[in-house]
Amino acid sequence: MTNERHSGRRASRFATAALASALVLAGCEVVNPGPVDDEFIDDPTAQEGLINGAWERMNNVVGDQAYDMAMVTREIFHGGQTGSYGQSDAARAGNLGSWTASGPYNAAQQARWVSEEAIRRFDVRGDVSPAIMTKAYLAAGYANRMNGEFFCWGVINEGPDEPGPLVSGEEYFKRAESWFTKALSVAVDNNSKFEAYAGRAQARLWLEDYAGAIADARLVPNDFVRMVEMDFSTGGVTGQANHVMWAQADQPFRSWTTLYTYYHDYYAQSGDPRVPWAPFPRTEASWCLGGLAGYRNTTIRAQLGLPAATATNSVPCFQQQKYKTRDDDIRMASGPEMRLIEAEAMLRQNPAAWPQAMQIINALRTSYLSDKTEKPLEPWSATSLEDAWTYLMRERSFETWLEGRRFADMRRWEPYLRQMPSDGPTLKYGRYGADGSTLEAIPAHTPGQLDWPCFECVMSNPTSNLFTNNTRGRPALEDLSMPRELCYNISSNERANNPKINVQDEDTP
Amino acid sequence: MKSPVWLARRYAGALALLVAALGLLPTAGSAQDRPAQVRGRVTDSNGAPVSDVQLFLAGSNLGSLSRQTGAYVIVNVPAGTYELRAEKLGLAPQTKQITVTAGAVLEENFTMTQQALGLDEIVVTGTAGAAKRREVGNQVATINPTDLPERPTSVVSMLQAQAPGMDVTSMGGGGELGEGFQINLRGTNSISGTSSTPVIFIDGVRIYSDNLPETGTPDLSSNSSRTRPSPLAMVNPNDIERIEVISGPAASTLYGTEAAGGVIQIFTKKGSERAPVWTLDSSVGTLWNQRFGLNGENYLHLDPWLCSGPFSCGQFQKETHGLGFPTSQNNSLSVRGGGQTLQYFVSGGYDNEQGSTPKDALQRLNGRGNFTFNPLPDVIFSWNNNYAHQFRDNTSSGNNAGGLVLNAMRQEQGYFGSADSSVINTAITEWDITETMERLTTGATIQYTPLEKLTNRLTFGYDLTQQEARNIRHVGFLLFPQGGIDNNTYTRRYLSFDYVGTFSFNLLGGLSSSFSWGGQATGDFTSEVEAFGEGFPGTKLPTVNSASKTLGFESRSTTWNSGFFLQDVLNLKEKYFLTLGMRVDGNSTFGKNFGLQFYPKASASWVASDETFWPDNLGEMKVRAAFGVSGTAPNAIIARRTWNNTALAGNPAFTPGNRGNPDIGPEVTSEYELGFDASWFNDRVRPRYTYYHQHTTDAIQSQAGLASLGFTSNVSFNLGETENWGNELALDVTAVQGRNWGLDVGYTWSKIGNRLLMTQGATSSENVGRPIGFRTWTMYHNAEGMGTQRTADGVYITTTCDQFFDDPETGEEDAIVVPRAGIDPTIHACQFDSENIYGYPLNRPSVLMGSNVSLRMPFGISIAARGEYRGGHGYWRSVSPIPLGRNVRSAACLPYYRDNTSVTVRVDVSAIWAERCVAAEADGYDIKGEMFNLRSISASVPMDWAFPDRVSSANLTLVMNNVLHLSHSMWGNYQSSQERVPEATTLRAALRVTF
Repeated sequence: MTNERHSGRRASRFATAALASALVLAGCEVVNPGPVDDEFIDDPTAQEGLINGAWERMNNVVGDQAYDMAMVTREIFHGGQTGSYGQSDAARAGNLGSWTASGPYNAAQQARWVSEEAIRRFDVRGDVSPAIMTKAYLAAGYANRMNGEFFCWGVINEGPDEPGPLVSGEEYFKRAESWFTKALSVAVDNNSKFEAYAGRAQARLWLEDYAGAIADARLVPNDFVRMVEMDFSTGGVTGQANHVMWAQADQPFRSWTTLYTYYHDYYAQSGDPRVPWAPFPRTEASWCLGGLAGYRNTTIRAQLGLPAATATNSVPCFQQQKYKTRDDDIRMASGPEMRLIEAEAMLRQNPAAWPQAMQIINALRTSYLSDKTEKPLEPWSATSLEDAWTYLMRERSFETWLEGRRFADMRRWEPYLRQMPSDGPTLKYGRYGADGSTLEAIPAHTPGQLDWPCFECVMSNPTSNLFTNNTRGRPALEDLSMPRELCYNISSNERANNPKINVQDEDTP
Repeated sequence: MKSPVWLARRYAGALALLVAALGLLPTAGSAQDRPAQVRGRVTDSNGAPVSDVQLFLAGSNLGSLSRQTGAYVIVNVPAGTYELRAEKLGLAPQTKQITVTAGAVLEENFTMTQQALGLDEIVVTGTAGAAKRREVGNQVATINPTDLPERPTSVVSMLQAQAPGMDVTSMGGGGELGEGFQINLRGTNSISGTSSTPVIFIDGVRIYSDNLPETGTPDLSSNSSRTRPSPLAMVNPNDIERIEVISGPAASTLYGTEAAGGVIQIFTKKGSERAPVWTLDSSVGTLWNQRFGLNGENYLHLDPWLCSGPFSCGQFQKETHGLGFPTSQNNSLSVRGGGQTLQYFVSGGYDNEQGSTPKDALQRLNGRGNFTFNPLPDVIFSWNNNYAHQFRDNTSSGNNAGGLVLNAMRQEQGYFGSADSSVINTAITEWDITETMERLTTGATIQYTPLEKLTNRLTFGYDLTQQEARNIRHVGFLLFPQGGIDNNTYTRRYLSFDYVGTFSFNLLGGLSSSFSWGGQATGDFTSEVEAFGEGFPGTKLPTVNSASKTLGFESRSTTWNSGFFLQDVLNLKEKYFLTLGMRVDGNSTFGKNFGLQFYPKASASWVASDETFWPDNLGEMKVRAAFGVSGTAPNAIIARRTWNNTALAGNPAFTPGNRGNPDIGPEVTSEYELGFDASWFNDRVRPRYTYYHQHTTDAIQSQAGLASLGFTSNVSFNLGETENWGNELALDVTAVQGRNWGLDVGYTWSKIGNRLLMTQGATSSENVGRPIGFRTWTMYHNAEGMGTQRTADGVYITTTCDQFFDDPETGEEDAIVVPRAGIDPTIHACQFDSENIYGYPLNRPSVLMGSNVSLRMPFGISIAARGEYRGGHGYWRSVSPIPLGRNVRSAACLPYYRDNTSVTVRVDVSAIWAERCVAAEADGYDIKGEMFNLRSISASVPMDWAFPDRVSSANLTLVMNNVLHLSHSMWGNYQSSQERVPEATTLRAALRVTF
């Protein structure tokens, strides 16, 4: 009996200890390593990282969209690949397709939000150095400028002092101008000032402050360049790659070609180093992956001196030479672009001054040596305002080739709009009018001709409508139930889940 | 304090037994006397032979196993008096006193009787401590490997179609060796999809049972080139004594958070106080593929790498293997036995298998040592250990640009740009995809019984799973000539503590109580370290260090779940049982504002057949009812707000990460189930029926963050509510039971339903009332054409049919298509109608059936077959196996092309073939998931005649697995998705010798 009592006590102690252990463990807190806690972001050592975060988001937008938009803007020709790193049926038909997609919207919004969050947090601290504040203002400026170019509408809903929640694209340019001005107020080094002037010139051009744009642009030297860094190799992050290059890399994608674009023949003739291309080194890579239904390449291959492809619908593939690796950075602003901003602002401010604008355009143009002749490029000879606009738009397309800028430029220039068929789909573009509710067309003060290639014309199959229709034979624009767009818009997710805005219908901004 | 002499005496016998069992000493039975024999036959009450009965002389280490014919023989028996015992799981044990004289042959026959319902059989899973089956108010399914005549070579094949409501689905195509699978019990009860899978224990130790992760390719793309392997595949099936399955919260309450998907507990064999019994299992086999393509493209261009029949293989399969076809061998040797103080089960296994494609191969080593030790009269100490090592070599498959399967299927439009099989084959010759997996599971259990009525059990468990996946594209690989390497080491550890105490006492008259208390804590530790390199010209056997450019990645996480429980079982006259219990849980994944979670349970059982009014000739019957609640934990880092250091150009770059929800708690699923177990007509008909209903509240639902507020990651909330219900029936019938002939038929059936009761979000409210994760009998349209589920604003725009259309040309059923330009939609295609959707089937099977037939013939020969039906659901099938979107001309489409060179389809082609053959990027169908698989056919022949008497039992079994597959999809085997190869047909000859 005594033994049983002892055993019973031992058992109860055993049980008590086990239960107590379970309860202690139940209350324990586990902090997993890896992610950065929100509190750390306020630490001074995190300040530059926060600004870099904004640039990383810009990298994601530019690195990806410079490629996605290139098909819509006809900077590249479709190779047939529609899956990995290919282009969609919609893009082939000249339609943005995923204009309310979350991908570009999220990254672009985050770029703006992170940079402005950095400024908010730095302002609360009050002890952040001018150098860091300058970087934060510049990041916010470029993030807003980028949003303004890519998006017709957006949401800014951080607080009651903000203009949102629903804002037009113009609001981004206003914010960009404001941040660049603040950067200039604290910047101490020249390069930071050049960055601020260049960005503000870009914004002011959109805000139709032509005098201001000219004044800022003139302060930026020709050799200035501000890149957004592409960084696949050190981070191994697919989103940080230069997709323009990677989508066309011989191995593995070869998704697009320069053939049939305006730049292809132009480079062959001029050797303009801004739009270079070359055959792929490997013979087997002379055709793109995928193939276009209805594309008969036999004759074309013979004309181009290419070997026969195993598939009759393979598109001859020629490789851009602007970017050599998937780490090659993409320009956000440059001195040459500033010259063209000066010229465009002059054409808009005072059309009669087109000869002076042409001087600027040709001065820039002849500063380049031809890859073919190693001599300066031949200057353009304009005889009218319309010629001047044509050369301005052409030069800007060379200068910003595959940088994701032509998309917005085409929205700013009217000729593209005029070249659309009169019975075509409704175009949605523009800005809010003075009353903040109606959509106004951009004034028709951009004459000239856009170098718009006829992709449909290259289909040797006369019945093909691959560049206007989707693969099921239905008109792409009709089938896709959306108008042709030249800007991204508020994402479907934001529309669905943000109770502060009421924009469920895609047809309303 | 015991003296050393006492200890030496006590353990000497045990050590001697162990050494003897390992064959290092002669057996104790080799006495000086002339040996005698004990022999006889074991039959059931009808005279039918009973095999696998353990017959042994208590107190000696002599024994044997009954053969297929029921015969047994125990040799080298010294003269003396013995207690001869006969035991087998599910049969009532028997004992006889015998006297053996020197040199004599003593014949003793046994007639075994079945424990019809096994009401006094002990079950462990879902109860506090052990319980007799009669006490348990919920269903506990038991899988006994000796009931599986096909000699399964993996745990997954032991589970498939074996318990009602259990759905086992392969994670890839099913055709790759060691491939992972998903187990689901009673359908889906979670919106987030994080649960609905059971937790698994081996001998009381919580193990990592999810599939190991896919790993990247040496170009850092996210598309893996192999399937996810299963750590469960490393468990030696020959080590398994039985498997217990409890299917939902009504039974799993005491497991608390994480157990809402049910619990599976695997029990491995233990030693016993008897003679050592050695068992050798050895099998050899081969395999071949069933067609999984279309007419004219039976294997979707993979013919050179596959086998179309036994010993009939394509060029590269032939070249790879010395015999010209793939082979497999599985070997296992075990011994079990023991003395009074130490019992042991020790086993070792070696498997060497070649797979469906040339490079698919697997080698596995497996060792187990289970020891039970009685150091003190009131203490039992058990120590169970398993170590397994597996090496797997894969053929590159999946949606991977450099993979063999993808490039073969896409022909000249693949990334290699060639239809030349020798070019595509370089995806094998220049690319090594290997993984080395190790698994160690060890558990120690101390059972301390200081009083007859007081039992304490404490278990410590440690489960380590590690995978090193190496992925090397050699220098010269077509797509990456400079070479690339990726090394990913994934480690998962579970540390578990489990204590339970039980005190039993009598209350009034025939009423007694068994009160239990206890607690568990389980730590789950994950780490993943990956190294990547590219560019190593000149290096034939590279490491990451050989590369000119290298990158490294690391991630880690830890979660702890702890809880305690109380339970009381009231027992009235061994007929009426009432169980009440509760558990309280804390979990490190809960938000800091959440606190603890409470889970109650209650169950009752009534052994109706023990009532006096119950007619004796009606057999046995138990009626049961149970209610219980258990949970599903949120993801490890859902609660915290964090940022990612994405990094840019080598510098820190903080971007918004997880928005966090400090209020997040577990999904809570309550369930009630009602049912009965019975044994009728002299135990010839044995039905088990259960109805269950589950209700999940606080279902974890994710909402996308708002980009305008920075954090775009999904945020999880306890918002949703779901309902899940079903019927389960298992029926075993002994149709014929004679001395020489016998016929047994088994059947399981379950019907599963579920629906969403409440959800949040503007786009998902319309899903209320529909099944969770439903499919739609339509084809979706959106901006990209077909294949995407919703339009941008979340509204389904669909084509629908009043009924499924059969293909007018082939008779193929159930293809849903949309009108095509130039085609009258009323003829061959469904109407375009966004208002009238045909239906919303479940995305997992809602009807599961399993059946088995076993025919016993004279001379111990038997034939068995097992089939599986899954249906009542839909799944989406892409046409990507025939990559028409890549403009590959398909042989299946040749009749429909406009000419001999293009991929343009004639305008007069029926809509279904137009959809199949028109080049498009992502066409797909929701099709009926109904399928039947004849999982196995086996024939077993006794081979005792070929061995000396010392061999207790020898059997040769010929087995064919995956013999026949029937489904609605003519696009291929239902499993053939994402450029994978479906399950192959295997043929094995398996020999089991026991001595």
